[in-house]
Amino acid sequence: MIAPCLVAVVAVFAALRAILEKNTGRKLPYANVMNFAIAASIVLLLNHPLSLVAAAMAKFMTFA
Amino acid sequence: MLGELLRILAAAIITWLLFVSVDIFFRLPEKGGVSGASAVARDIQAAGGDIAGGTMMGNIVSSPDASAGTLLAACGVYVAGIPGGLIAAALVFIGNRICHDPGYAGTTGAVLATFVVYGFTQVGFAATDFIAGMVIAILSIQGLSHLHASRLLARLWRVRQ
Repeated sequence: MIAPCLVAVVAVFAALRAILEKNTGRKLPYANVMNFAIAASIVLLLNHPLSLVAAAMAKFMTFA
Repeated sequence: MLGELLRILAAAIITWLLFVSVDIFFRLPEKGGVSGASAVARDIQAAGGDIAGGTMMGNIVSSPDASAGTLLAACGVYVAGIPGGLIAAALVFIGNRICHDPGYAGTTGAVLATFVVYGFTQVGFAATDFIAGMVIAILSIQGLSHLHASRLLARLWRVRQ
């Protein structure tokens, strides 16, 4: 139960840092951390083979 | 509870070593694989960071590298064991091609991580420990201090050279 909570805290922390950072180039790494945490939380909350595809799509959103 | 926290911490260290060494082996700090990577590197350098470390961080942001591969492989092992991890590697391979990234760091990282994560699940670790561990590992590189992270990556890159 600790893992999903930890991941959610990281997602909120990274989102806040992405909002507070003004420079676009330095904002992107924070958004990337947030996407990692969101992809991880999808799989942690829904243990189903298709969650893997959902997580991959969530992760690849940064690149699009 | 403390046991799970310690396992997540250990998993974070293992995944950190795995993805940083695969990325540096595949020469990610050398040049931006896609145009966005060089832009991130420039902005990190402008803030006092190192250009080689910044380039590697830019490459991590703009195309699936070993860190994305490790996360998805851990997710794959969690939902479907070794076949799940290998499907994750295939997804990373497709993601690389969509991003016009010529490299194979992501796919290699995902395949390696599948077997590493599966191996550790046989000795008392859970796959969820590695999912959370990978999030902590990427937080340490990209979410805390770009200045220090880029300098550390550049130092490791000079050792590789």
